[in-house]
Amino acid sequence: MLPLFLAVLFSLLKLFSPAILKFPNVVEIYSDFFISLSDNSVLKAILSTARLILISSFVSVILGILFSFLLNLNKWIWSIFEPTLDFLRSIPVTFFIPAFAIILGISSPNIIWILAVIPSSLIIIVNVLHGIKQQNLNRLHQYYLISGKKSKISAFIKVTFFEVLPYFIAGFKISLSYAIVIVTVLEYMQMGNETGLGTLVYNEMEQLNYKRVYSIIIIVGLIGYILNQLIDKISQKYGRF
Amino acid sequence: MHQTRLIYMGVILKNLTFQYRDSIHPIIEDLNLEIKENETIALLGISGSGKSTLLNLISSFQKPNSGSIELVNIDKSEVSYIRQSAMDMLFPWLTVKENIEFALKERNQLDSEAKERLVSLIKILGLTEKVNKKNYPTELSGGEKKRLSFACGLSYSPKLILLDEAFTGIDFSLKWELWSFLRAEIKRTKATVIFLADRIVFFNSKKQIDTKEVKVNKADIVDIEKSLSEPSFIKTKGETLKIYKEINEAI
Repeated sequence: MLPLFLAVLFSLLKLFSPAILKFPNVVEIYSDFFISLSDNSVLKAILSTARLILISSFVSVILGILFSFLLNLNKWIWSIFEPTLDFLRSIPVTFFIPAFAIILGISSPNIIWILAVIPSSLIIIVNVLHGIKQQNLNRLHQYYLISGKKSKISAFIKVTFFEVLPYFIAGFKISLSYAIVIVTVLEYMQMGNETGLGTLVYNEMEQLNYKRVYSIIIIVGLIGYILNQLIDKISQKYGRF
Repeated sequence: MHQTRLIYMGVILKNLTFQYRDSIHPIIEDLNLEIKENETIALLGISGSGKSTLLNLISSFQKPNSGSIELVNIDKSEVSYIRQSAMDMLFPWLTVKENIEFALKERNQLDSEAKERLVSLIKILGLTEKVNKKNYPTELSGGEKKRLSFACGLSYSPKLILLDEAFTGIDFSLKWELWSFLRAEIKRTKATVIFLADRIVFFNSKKQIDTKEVKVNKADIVDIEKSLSEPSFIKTKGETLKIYKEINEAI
Protein backbone atom coordinates (compact mmCIF):
# COMPACT_ATOMS: atom_id res chain seq x y z
CA MET A 1 0.00 0.00 0.00
CA LEU A 2 2.80 2.41 0.94
CA PRO A 3 4.76 2.02 -2.38
CA LEU A 4 1.50 2.59 -4.26
CA PHE A 5 0.74 5.72 -2.24
CA LEU A 6 4.25 7.04 -2.91
CA ALA A 7 3.90 6.23 -6.62
CA VAL A 8 0.70 8.31 -6.79
CA LEU A 9 2.35 11.12 -4.83
CA PHE A 10 5.44 11.18 -7.06
CA SER A 11 3.24 11.12 -10.18
CA LEU A 12 1.22 14.08 -8.90
CA LEU A 13 4.39 16.00 -8.00
CA LYS A 14 5.72 15.41 -11.51
CA LEU A 15 2.52 16.87 -12.97
CA PHE A 16 3.03 20.13 -11.09
CA SER A 17 6.82 20.40 -11.29
CA PRO A 18 8.36 22.80 -13.80
CA ALA A 19 9.79 21.05 -16.89
CA ILE A 20 13.20 22.60 -16.27
CA LEU A 21 13.62 20.58 -13.07
CA LYS A 22 13.48 17.30 -15.00
CA PHE A 23 11.51 15.72 -12.19
CA PRO A 24 11.99 11.93 -12.34
CA ASN A 25 9.10 9.55 -12.96
CA VAL A 26 8.00 6.84 -10.53
CA VAL A 27 10.01 4.07 -12.19
CA GLU A 28 13.20 6.17 -12.10
CA ILE A 29 12.71 6.98 -8.39
CA TYR A 30 12.09 3.37 -7.42
CA SER A 31 15.02 2.04 -9.46
CA ASP A 32 17.30 4.66 -7.89
CA PHE A 33 15.98 3.72 -4.45
CA PHE A 34 17.13 0.11 -4.91
CA ILE A 35 20.46 1.25 -6.43
CA SER A 36 21.03 3.67 -3.52
CA LEU A 37 20.74 0.81 -1.03
CA SER A 38 24.02 -0.56 -2.34
CA ASP A 39 25.65 2.87 -2.60
CA ASN A 40 28.38 3.28 0.02
CA SER A 41 27.73 6.98 0.62
CA VAL A 42 24.03 6.28 1.25
CA LEU A 43 24.74 3.34 3.56
CA LYS A 44 27.24 5.48 5.46
CA ALA A 45 24.63 8.26 5.72
CA ILE A 46 21.99 5.79 6.98
CA LEU A 47 24.33 4.53 9.70
CA SER A 48 25.39 8.05 10.65
CA THR A 49 21.82 9.37 10.93
CA ALA A 50 20.54 6.21 12.65
CA ARG A 51 23.36 6.53 15.18
CA LEU A 52 22.37 10.10 16.06
CA ILE A 53 18.68 9.16 16.28
CA LEU A 54 19.45 6.27 18.61
CA ILE A 55 21.80 8.34 20.80
CA SER A 56 19.25 11.15 21.16
CA SER A 57 16.43 8.65 21.83
CA PHE A 58 18.47 6.78 24.42
CA VAL A 59 19.46 9.98 26.24
CA SER A 60 15.86 11.25 26.00
CA VAL A 61 14.53 8.05 27.58
CA ILE A 62 17.01 8.22 30.46
CA LEU A 63 16.45 11.93 31.09
CA GLY A 64 12.70 11.66 30.52
CA ILE A 65 12.16 8.86 33.03
CA LEU A 66 14.60 10.32 35.56
CA PHE A 67 13.05 13.80 35.51
CA SER A 68 9.50 12.47 35.51
CA PHE A 69 10.04 10.58 38.73
CA LEU A 70 12.05 13.38 40.31
CA LEU A 71 9.27 15.84 39.48
CA ASN A 72 6.74 13.45 40.91
CA LEU A 73 8.53 13.05 44.23
CA ASN A 74 6.38 15.67 45.82
CA LYS A 75 3.89 18.37 44.91
CA TRP A 76 6.30 21.15 45.84
CA ILE A 77 8.93 20.08 43.29
CA TRP A 78 6.22 19.64 40.67
CA SER A 79 4.74 23.10 41.29
CA ILE A 80 8.18 24.68 40.81
CA PHE A 81 9.08 22.84 37.62
CA GLU A 82 5.70 22.63 35.90
CA PRO A 83 5.83 26.23 34.53
CA THR A 84 9.41 25.64 33.34
CA LEU A 85 8.31 22.47 31.57
CA ASP A 86 5.43 24.23 29.82
CA PHE A 87 7.73 27.13 28.97
CA LEU A 88 10.33 24.89 27.33
CA ARG A 89 7.71 22.86 25.47
CA SER A 90 6.47 25.99 23.74
CA ILE A 91 9.87 26.89 22.25
CA PRO A 92 10.70 25.47 18.80
CA VAL A 93 13.94 23.51 18.95
CA THR A 94 15.50 25.63 16.17
CA PHE A 95 15.45 28.57 18.59
CA PHE A 96 17.94 26.71 20.76
CA ILE A 97 20.46 26.42 17.91
CA PRO A 98 22.25 29.75 18.54
CA ALA A 99 22.58 29.03 22.26
CA PHE A 100 24.02 25.57 21.77
CA ALA A 101 26.11 26.68 18.76
CA ILE A 102 27.90 29.19 21.01
CA ILE A 103 28.56 26.59 23.68
CA LEU A 104 29.42 23.59 21.52
CA GLY A 105 30.36 25.17 18.19
CA ILE A 106 28.20 24.94 15.05
CA SER A 107 30.17 22.03 13.63
CA SER A 108 30.30 20.03 16.86
CA PRO A 109 29.28 16.41 16.18
CA ASN A 110 27.28 16.47 19.41
CA ILE A 111 25.11 19.48 18.66
CA ILE A 112 22.55 17.48 16.63
CA TRP A 113 21.69 14.84 19.18
CA ILE A 114 21.79 17.35 22.05
CA LEU A 115 19.25 19.54 20.27
CA ALA A 116 17.13 16.50 19.42
CA VAL A 117 17.16 15.46 23.08
CA ILE A 118 15.39 18.67 24.23
CA PRO A 119 11.93 18.12 22.68
CA SER A 120 12.22 14.33 22.74
CA SER A 121 12.85 14.14 26.48
CA LEU A 122 10.17 16.77 27.18
CA ILE A 123 7.60 14.61 25.39
CA ILE A 124 8.60 11.58 27.42
CA ILE A 125 8.48 13.60 30.66
CA VAL A 126 4.98 14.88 29.90
CA ASN A 127 3.71 11.40 29.01
CA VAL A 128 5.31 9.61 31.96
CA LEU A 129 4.07 12.28 34.39
CA HIS A 130 0.59 11.91 32.93
CA GLY A 131 0.89 8.14 33.39
CA ILE A 132 1.95 8.55 37.03
CA LYS A 133 -0.98 10.87 37.68
CA GLN A 134 -3.38 8.48 35.95
CA GLN A 135 -2.20 5.40 37.80
CA ASN A 136 -4.85 3.46 39.66
CA LEU A 137 -4.31 4.31 43.34
CA ASN A 138 -6.67 1.54 44.43
CA ARG A 139 -4.42 -0.94 42.65
CA LEU A 140 -1.35 0.55 44.31
CA HIS A 141 -3.06 0.25 47.70
CA GLN A 142 -3.99 -3.30 46.77
CA TYR A 143 -0.33 -4.05 46.16
CA TYR A 144 0.64 -2.84 49.63
CA LEU A 145 -2.15 -4.93 51.16
CA ILE A 146 -1.62 -8.22 49.38
CA SER A 147 2.15 -8.09 49.23
CA GLY A 148 2.42 -7.25 52.90
CA LYS A 149 5.20 -4.82 51.97
CA LYS A 150 5.62 -1.14 52.69
CA SER A 151 8.54 -0.34 50.39
CA LYS A 152 7.81 2.39 47.85
CA ILE A 153 10.63 1.13 45.64
CA SER A 154 9.10 -2.32 45.55
CA ALA A 155 5.69 -0.80 44.71
CA PHE A 156 7.31 1.23 41.95
CA ILE A 157 9.00 -1.83 40.40
CA LYS A 158 5.97 -4.11 40.72
CA VAL A 159 3.10 -1.69 40.01
CA THR A 160 3.86 1.90 39.02
CA PHE A 161 6.37 0.89 36.35
CA PHE A 162 3.78 -1.26 34.57
CA GLU A 163 1.00 1.30 35.05
CA VAL A 164 3.16 3.96 33.39
CA LEU A 165 4.59 1.72 30.67
CA PRO A 166 1.81 2.32 28.07
CA TYR A 167 2.12 6.10 28.57
CA PHE A 168 5.90 5.87 28.25
CA ILE A 169 5.64 3.83 25.04
CA ALA A 170 3.20 6.36 23.54
CA GLY A 171 5.56 9.22 24.49
CA PHE A 172 8.59 7.34 23.23
CA LYS A 173 6.99 6.80 19.82
CA ILE A 174 6.30 10.53 19.44
CA SER A 175 9.74 11.48 20.76
CA LEU A 176 11.37 9.11 18.27
CA SER A 177 9.53 10.80 15.40
CA TYR A 178 10.72 14.14 16.74
CA ALA A 179 14.29 12.87 16.93
CA ILE A 180 14.19 11.70 13.29
CA VAL A 181 12.82 15.05 12.11
CA ILE A 182 15.27 17.15 14.15
CA VAL A 183 18.34 15.07 13.30
CA THR A 184 17.67 15.08 9.55
CA VAL A 185 16.70 18.77 9.47
CA LEU A 186 19.84 19.80 11.39
CA GLU A 187 21.95 17.64 9.07
CA TYR A 188 20.23 19.35 6.15
CA MET A 189 21.26 22.67 7.70
CA GLN A 190 24.87 21.41 7.52
CA MET A 191 25.26 21.31 11.28
CA GLY A 192 27.53 18.87 13.05
CA ASN A 193 27.21 15.88 10.76
CA GLU A 194 28.68 15.90 7.25
CA THR A 195 27.77 12.34 6.41
CA GLY A 196 24.10 12.08 7.46
CA LEU A 197 21.03 11.59 5.27
CA GLY A 198 20.02 15.25 5.71
CA THR A 199 23.40 16.42 4.39
CA LEU A 200 23.15 13.93 1.53
CA VAL A 201 19.71 15.22 0.54
CA TYR A 202 21.07 18.77 0.50
CA ASN A 203 24.10 17.78 -1.62
CA GLU A 204 22.03 15.77 -4.09
CA MET A 205 19.56 18.64 -4.43
CA GLU A 206 22.42 21.01 -5.16
CA GLN A 207 23.34 18.69 -8.01
CA LEU A 208 19.68 18.54 -9.17
CA ASN A 209 19.73 14.76 -8.61
CA TYR A 210 16.04 14.59 -7.67
CA LYS A 211 15.62 10.86 -8.00
CA ARG A 212 18.29 10.39 -5.32
CA VAL A 213 16.63 13.10 -3.17
CA TYR A 214 13.36 11.13 -3.27
CA SER A 215 15.18 7.84 -2.69
CA ILE A 216 16.63 9.28 0.50
CA ILE A 217 13.21 10.59 1.54
CA ILE A 218 11.89 7.03 1.18
CA ILE A 219 14.85 5.75 3.25
CA VAL A 220 14.19 8.26 6.06
CA GLY A 221 10.52 7.27 6.03
CA LEU A 222 11.51 3.61 6.20
CA ILE A 223 13.84 4.21 9.16
CA GLY A 224 10.94 5.83 11.04
CA TYR A 225 8.57 3.04 9.98
CA ILE A 226 10.95 0.27 11.06
CA LEU A 227 11.68 1.90 14.42
CA ASN A 228 7.96 2.40 15.07
CA GLN A 229 7.22 -1.20 14.12
CA LEU A 230 9.95 -2.28 16.51
CA ILE A 231 8.40 -0.30 19.37
CA ASP A 232 4.97 -1.69 18.48
CA LYS A 233 6.30 -5.25 18.66
CA ILE A 234 7.96 -4.58 21.99
CA SER A 235 4.84 -2.90 23.38
CA GLN A 236 2.65 -5.78 22.15
CA LYS A 237 4.87 -8.19 24.02
CA TYR A 238 5.42 -6.26 27.22
CA GLY A 239 2.65 -3.66 27.26
CA ARG A 240 -0.29 -5.62 25.84
CA PHE A 241 -2.45 -4.76 28.83
CA MET B 1 -17.87 7.34 76.68
CA HIS B 2 -17.65 4.21 74.57
CA GLN B 3 -16.94 1.03 76.52
CA THR B 4 -14.49 -1.31 74.85
CA ARG B 5 -15.06 -5.05 75.10
CA LEU B 6 -12.14 -7.38 75.57
CA ILE B 7 -11.71 -9.15 72.29
CA TYR B 8 -9.11 -11.69 71.25
CA MET B 9 -9.03 -10.76 67.59
CA GLY B 10 -10.89 -8.20 65.52
CA VAL B 11 -11.27 -4.52 64.82
CA ILE B 12 -11.92 -1.75 67.32
CA LEU B 13 -12.87 1.71 66.11
CA LYS B 14 -12.77 4.41 68.78
CA ASN B 15 -14.26 7.88 68.29
CA LEU B 16 -13.40 7.71 64.62
CA THR B 17 -13.88 10.91 62.63
CA PHE B 18 -13.00 11.56 59.03
CA GLN B 19 -13.68 14.56 56.82
CA TYR B 20 -12.68 15.02 53.19
CA ARG B 21 -10.74 18.19 52.49
CA ASP B 22 -13.36 19.68 50.19
CA SER B 23 -16.27 18.71 52.41
CA ILE B 24 -18.06 20.90 54.97
CA HIS B 25 -19.14 18.09 57.30
CA PRO B 26 -17.30 14.98 58.38
CA ILE B 27 -18.45 11.89 56.49
CA ILE B 28 -17.71 9.76 59.56
CA GLU B 29 -18.16 11.35 62.96
CA ASP B 30 -17.25 9.91 66.33
CA LEU B 31 -17.84 6.32 65.27
CA ASN B 32 -17.35 3.55 67.81
CA LEU B 33 -17.51 -0.04 66.71
CA GLU B 34 -16.13 -3.43 67.64
CA ILE B 35 -16.02 -6.38 65.32
CA LYS B 36 -14.91 -9.67 66.81
CA GLU B 37 -13.08 -12.67 65.45
CA ASN B 38 -15.07 -14.74 62.97
CA GLU B 39 -17.82 -12.14 63.00
CA THR B 40 -19.38 -11.11 59.71
CA ILE B 41 -21.07 -7.76 59.52
CA ALA B 42 -22.63 -5.79 56.71
CA LEU B 43 -22.58 -2.02 56.42
CA LEU B 44 -25.56 -0.70 54.57
CA GLY B 45 -26.06 2.77 53.22
CA ILE B 46 -26.54 4.75 50.07
CA SER B 47 -23.60 5.95 48.04
CA GLY B 48 -21.82 8.79 49.77
CA SER B 49 -22.79 7.61 53.22
CA GLY B 50 -19.20 6.79 54.18
CA LYS B 51 -19.17 3.01 53.76
CA SER B 52 -16.17 2.82 51.45
CA THR B 53 -14.39 5.55 53.41
CA LEU B 54 -14.68 3.41 56.51
CA LEU B 55 -13.10 0.44 54.74
CA ASN B 56 -10.38 2.71 53.36
CA LEU B 57 -9.65 3.85 56.90
CA ILE B 58 -9.59 0.31 58.29
CA SER B 59 -7.26 -0.81 55.49
CA SER B 60 -4.95 2.21 56.08
CA PHE B 61 -5.63 3.66 52.62
CA GLN B 62 -6.74 6.86 54.34
CA LYS B 63 -5.93 8.28 57.74
CA PRO B 64 -8.62 9.44 60.19
CA ASN B 65 -8.75 13.06 61.36
CA SER B 66 -9.23 11.84 64.90
CA GLY B 67 -9.94 8.66 66.77
CA SER B 68 -8.25 5.32 66.37
CA ILE B 69 -8.47 2.05 64.51
CA GLU B 70 -7.07 -0.93 66.30
CA LEU B 71 -6.53 -4.23 64.58
CA VAL B 72 -6.39 -6.68 67.47
CA ASN B 73 -4.07 -9.60 66.68
CA ILE B 74 -4.42 -8.85 63.00
CA ASP B 75 -1.35 -7.68 61.13
CA LYS B 76 -1.87 -5.19 58.30
CA SER B 77 -0.55 -7.82 55.91
CA GLU B 78 -3.44 -10.09 56.95
CA VAL B 79 -6.09 -7.73 55.61
CA SER B 80 -7.78 -8.36 52.29
CA TYR B 81 -9.81 -5.75 50.46
CA ILE B 82 -12.09 -7.03 47.70
CA ARG B 83 -13.50 -4.17 45.68
CA GLN B 84 -16.58 -3.69 43.55
CA SER B 85 -14.45 -3.02 40.49
CA ALA B 86 -12.46 -6.21 40.06
CA MET B 87 -9.87 -4.50 37.84
CA ASP B 88 -8.96 -2.20 40.73
CA MET B 89 -7.41 -5.16 42.48
CA LEU B 90 -6.03 -7.11 39.54
CA PHE B 91 -2.71 -6.49 37.83
CA PRO B 92 -3.48 -6.45 34.09
CA TRP B 93 0.15 -7.09 33.11
CA LEU B 94 0.11 -10.45 34.88
CA THR B 95 -1.69 -13.58 33.67
CA VAL B 96 -4.62 -15.03 35.60
CA LYS B 97 -2.32 -17.56 37.31
CA GLU B 98 0.32 -14.94 38.09
CA ASN B 99 -2.36 -12.72 39.65
CA ILE B 100 -3.57 -15.53 41.90
CA GLU B 101 -0.01 -16.45 42.94
CA PHE B 102 1.16 -12.84 43.29
CA ALA B 103 0.39 -12.28 46.98
CA LEU B 104 1.99 -15.52 48.13
CA LYS B 105 5.02 -14.98 45.88
CA GLU B 106 5.55 -11.52 47.31
CA ARG B 107 5.40 -12.99 50.81
CA ASN B 108 7.72 -15.88 49.90
CA GLN B 109 4.98 -18.31 50.93
CA LEU B 110 4.40 -20.04 47.62
CA ASP B 111 5.42 -23.53 48.70
CA SER B 112 4.03 -26.80 47.35
CA GLU B 113 1.20 -26.84 49.91
CA ALA B 114 0.16 -23.30 48.97
CA LYS B 115 0.33 -24.19 45.30
CA GLU B 116 -1.99 -27.15 45.89
CA ARG B 117 -4.44 -24.92 47.70
CA LEU B 118 -4.35 -22.39 44.86
CA VAL B 119 -5.04 -25.14 42.32
CA SER B 120 -8.18 -26.11 44.22
CA LEU B 121 -9.10 -22.42 44.57
CA ILE B 122 -8.76 -22.01 40.80
CA LYS B 123 -10.88 -25.13 40.25
CA ILE B 124 -13.62 -24.05 42.65
CA LEU B 125 -13.84 -20.64 41.02
CA GLY B 126 -13.95 -22.12 37.50
CA LEU B 127 -10.78 -20.44 36.30
CA THR B 128 -8.83 -23.56 35.29
CA GLU B 129 -9.29 -22.98 31.55
CA LYS B 130 -8.18 -19.37 31.80
CA VAL B 131 -5.10 -20.38 33.80
CA ASN B 132 -4.21 -23.08 31.25
CA LYS B 133 -4.67 -20.68 28.35
CA LYS B 134 -2.43 -18.13 30.10
CA ASN B 135 -5.12 -15.48 29.71
CA TYR B 136 -4.73 -11.96 31.03
CA PRO B 137 -7.42 -10.34 33.23
CA THR B 138 -8.48 -8.02 30.39
CA GLU B 139 -9.38 -11.13 28.36
CA LEU B 140 -11.90 -12.32 30.95
CA SER B 141 -15.63 -11.67 31.17
CA GLY B 142 -17.05 -9.50 33.98
CA GLY B 143 -18.00 -12.56 36.05
CA GLU B 144 -14.62 -14.20 35.57
CA LYS B 145 -12.85 -11.00 36.63
CA LYS B 146 -14.98 -10.99 39.77
CA ARG B 147 -14.10 -14.63 40.49
CA LEU B 148 -10.43 -13.84 39.93
CA SER B 149 -10.59 -10.88 42.31
CA PHE B 150 -11.99 -13.19 45.01
CA ALA B 151 -9.25 -15.73 44.31
CA CYS B 152 -6.58 -13.02 44.63
CA GLY B 153 -8.11 -11.51 47.74
CA LEU B 154 -8.41 -14.83 49.53
CA SER B 155 -5.26 -16.53 48.26
CA TYR B 156 -3.24 -15.62 51.36
CA SER B 157 -5.91 -16.64 53.90
CA PRO B 158 -6.50 -13.16 55.36
CA LYS B 159 -7.75 -12.72 58.92
CA LEU B 160 -9.75 -9.62 58.07
CA ILE B 161 -11.73 -9.49 54.84
CA LEU B 162 -13.18 -6.20 53.64
CA LEU B 163 -15.65 -6.40 50.78
CA ASP B 164 -16.60 -3.11 49.15
CA GLU B 165 -19.85 -3.88 47.35
CA ALA B 166 -18.11 -6.95 45.97
CA PHE B 167 -21.48 -8.56 45.22
CA THR B 168 -22.90 -5.58 43.36
CA GLY B 169 -23.48 -5.69 39.61
CA ILE B 170 -23.30 -9.45 39.21
CA ASP B 171 -26.05 -11.94 38.47
CA PHE B 172 -27.67 -13.87 41.28
CA SER B 173 -26.09 -17.26 40.50
CA LEU B 174 -22.57 -15.81 40.57
CA LYS B 175 -23.45 -13.82 43.69
CA TRP B 176 -24.54 -17.02 45.38
CA GLU B 177 -21.53 -18.96 44.10
CA LEU B 178 -19.08 -16.35 45.43
CA TRP B 179 -20.93 -16.03 48.71
CA SER B 180 -20.80 -19.80 49.24
CA PHE B 181 -17.10 -19.80 48.42
CA LEU B 182 -16.51 -16.91 50.81
CA ARG B 183 -18.46 -18.66 53.57
CA ALA B 184 -16.31 -21.77 53.18
CA GLU B 185 -13.16 -19.66 53.39
CA ILE B 186 -14.44 -17.81 56.48
CA LYS B 187 -15.21 -21.13 58.10
CA ARG B 188 -11.73 -22.41 57.30
CA THR B 189 -9.76 -19.32 58.36
CA LYS B 190 -12.11 -17.95 61.05
CA ALA B 191 -11.70 -14.55 59.45
CA THR B 192 -13.53 -11.41 60.45
CA VAL B 193 -15.57 -9.98 57.58
CA ILE B 194 -16.94 -6.51 56.94
CA PHE B 195 -18.88 -6.02 53.78
CA LEU B 196 -20.72 -3.16 52.22
CA ALA B 197 -23.97 -3.19 50.35
CA ASP B 198 -26.23 -0.47 49.01
CA ARG B 199 -29.39 -2.54 49.35
CA ILE B 200 -30.75 -5.13 51.72
CA VAL B 201 -32.49 -7.21 49.04
CA PHE B 202 -29.61 -9.68 49.06
CA PHE B 203 -30.39 -10.72 52.60
CA ASN B 204 -33.87 -12.05 52.27
CA SER B 205 -34.55 -13.36 55.74
CA LYS B 206 -34.95 -10.36 58.00
CA LYS B 207 -36.01 -12.41 61.02
CA GLN B 208 -32.59 -13.96 61.35
CA ILE B 209 -30.60 -10.76 61.13
CA ASP B 210 -29.41 -9.19 64.33
CA THR B 211 -29.12 -5.50 63.59
CA LYS B 212 -27.26 -2.65 65.12
CA GLU B 213 -27.51 0.96 64.09
CA VAL B 214 -24.42 3.08 63.91
CA LYS B 215 -24.78 6.76 63.28
CA VAL B 216 -21.78 7.89 61.31
CA ASN B 217 -22.81 11.49 60.80
CA LYS B 218 -25.52 13.90 61.67
CA ALA B 219 -28.19 12.41 59.42
CA ASP B 220 -31.25 10.69 60.85
CA ILE B 221 -31.04 7.05 61.72
CA VAL B 222 -33.06 4.92 59.36
CA ASP B 223 -35.84 2.81 60.76
CA ILE B 224 -34.51 -0.67 60.34
CA GLU B 225 -37.84 -2.51 60.22
CA LYS B 226 -39.23 -0.13 57.64
CA SER B 227 -36.09 -0.34 55.55
CA LEU B 228 -36.31 -4.11 55.46
CA SER B 229 -39.80 -4.05 54.09
CA GLU B 230 -39.16 -1.07 51.83
CA PRO B 231 -35.59 -1.14 50.54
CA SER B 232 -36.09 2.16 48.72
CA PHE B 233 -36.64 3.87 52.07
CA ILE B 234 -32.92 3.69 52.75
CA LYS B 235 -32.16 5.49 49.53
CA THR B 236 -34.34 8.43 50.43
CA LYS B 237 -33.09 8.75 53.99
CA GLY B 238 -29.53 7.69 53.47
CA GLU B 239 -26.38 9.00 55.07
CA THR B 240 -26.53 6.47 57.85
CA LEU B 241 -24.68 3.22 57.97
CA LYS B 242 -26.58 0.19 59.07
CA ILE B 243 -24.70 -2.65 60.55
CA TYR B 244 -26.11 -6.11 60.17
CA LYS B 245 -24.66 -8.65 62.51
CA GLU B 246 -24.56 -12.39 62.20
CA ILE B 247 -25.13 -12.40 58.48
CA ASN B 248 -23.82 -15.94 58.45
CA GLU B 249 -26.93 -17.07 60.27
CA ALA B 250 -29.18 -15.10 57.99
CA ILE B 251 -27.73 -16.65 54.88
